[in-house]
Amino acid sequence: MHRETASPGITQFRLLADAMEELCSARTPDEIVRISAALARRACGADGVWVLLSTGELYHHAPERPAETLSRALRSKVIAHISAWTMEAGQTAVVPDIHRDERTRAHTNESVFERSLVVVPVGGRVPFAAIGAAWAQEHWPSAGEVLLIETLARATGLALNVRLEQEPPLDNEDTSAVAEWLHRAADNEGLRGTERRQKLILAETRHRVRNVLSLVRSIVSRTAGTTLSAEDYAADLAGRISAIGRIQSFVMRERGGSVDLEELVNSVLIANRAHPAHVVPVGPPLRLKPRAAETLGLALHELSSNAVKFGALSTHDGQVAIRWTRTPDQDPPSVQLEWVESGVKVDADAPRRRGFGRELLERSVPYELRGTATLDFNADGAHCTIVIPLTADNAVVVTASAVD
Amino acid sequence: MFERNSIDTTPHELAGHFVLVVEDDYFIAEEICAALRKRGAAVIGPAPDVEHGRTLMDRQPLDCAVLDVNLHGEHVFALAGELRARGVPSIFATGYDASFLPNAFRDAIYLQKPIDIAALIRAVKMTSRSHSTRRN
Repeated sequence: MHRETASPGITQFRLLADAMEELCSARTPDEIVRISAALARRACGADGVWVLLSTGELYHHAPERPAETLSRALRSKVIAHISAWTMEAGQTAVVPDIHRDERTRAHTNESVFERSLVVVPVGGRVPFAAIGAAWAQEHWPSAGEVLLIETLARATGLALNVRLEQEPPLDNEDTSAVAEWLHRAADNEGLRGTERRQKLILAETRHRVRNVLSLVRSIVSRTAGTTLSAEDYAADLAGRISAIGRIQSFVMRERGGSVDLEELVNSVLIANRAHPAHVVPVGPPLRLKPRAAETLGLALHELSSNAVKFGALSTHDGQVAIRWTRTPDQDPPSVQLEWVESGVKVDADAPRRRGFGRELLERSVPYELRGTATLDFNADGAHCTIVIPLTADNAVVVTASAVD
Repeated sequence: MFERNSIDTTPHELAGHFVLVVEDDYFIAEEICAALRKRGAAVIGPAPDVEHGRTLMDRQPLDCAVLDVNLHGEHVFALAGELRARGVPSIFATGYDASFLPNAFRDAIYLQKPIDIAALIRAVKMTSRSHSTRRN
């Protein structure tokens, strides 16, 4: 009925030794998993191998199966549950029949191809991955096979760990020319593993900090030219620097560095003590890249602080409608954000706009984001329209279907 | 690194210098350009990206270029190489450490951000002087 269980002999362990050598020179996580799966196939007749990292990333390979069969199987809860179990227990799980094992039977369904599993936690006391071999037919692995899979899993885990240490953070998707250049510089110094990763992270952090300091310095000198009194200067400057600080903490919080537009809008409004009853932000979900978040965040800060001082948020009856819409039909698609104040009796004597905010909108938005911005003062308040192209530079581009 | 005795603080100490500025941050670019203009330099730019910088480079002869390194994820070294091929030296103004500069540009002047404006002015004078044969 079920497959013969033969103990692996010299041949199998020789294959394992060969695979280890290949693992050492593998360049990508996918390649590592392919080598691992090929060995599991040849030495133990396994139909596929998967690696589930504790961060949720999944790599898999099934040499003689259509790719979609395994990926469908991997979406099954069996893999998730048995991987979680093995990492928590810190011990290998041997499941000859997923329909009968109490750790898996509640999660099986007809569509999965795997019948038998050996799953090994990798990473010592705090496992960072579960590595599993799967058989399509019921298979009772011998003690020798389990040992072989365990050894293979540890080698695979080690190879993967070294490789992942050398990669930029996985969700950073930073394949830019700059990232490549930094990696080459690290190559030239012969850096590997943790040391290399630290060097790259430090380089990016320093770069960011120094750029922010540069921006702050130029804003300090620019603000000096646009205010009338020392008090105004201090207040405007404090507001702008706080805004930069808040945007930076947003950018640093997410590993990929993207910022949710609605969160950005709300944080700017809260910081300017805009009462939520007077402001209505509406728009579809949209994630901005750091540069776009910085520029737009500063622009929104200027609009808010102006509204609080002189505009719709300076009176009890004022309102601000903030609405953004995506215009997917344009090429490239863009986002249009409107800031519309109402219920203000505009005081003809009030300072209309200090030069800084207008410059930020009308010069910096086109310069940095290739967008456009217009700012008008109507009878009942300010009206600003900002259009930003949703290029890969500016936003995490989501397909329209994912949003609708 | 720079000669200390040659600091000339007359307003037009950079008169006649054509300086290309490539920097993707608007306010930082404006600060650099304003400092150069104040001392009489003719500023070409600022350009926010490599493509724009290349267009400006083709438009007229230059004495030197002040280049940010990371421009929207693209690095500036290809442009710096093209400038060098025309005999235009580059001054790198960046937040990255000097150790990251490619070997080809190890001899270029490196200014760490936030850049010291006085050092920038000295750098422009120094690089342009060595290049002064261009315009006779």
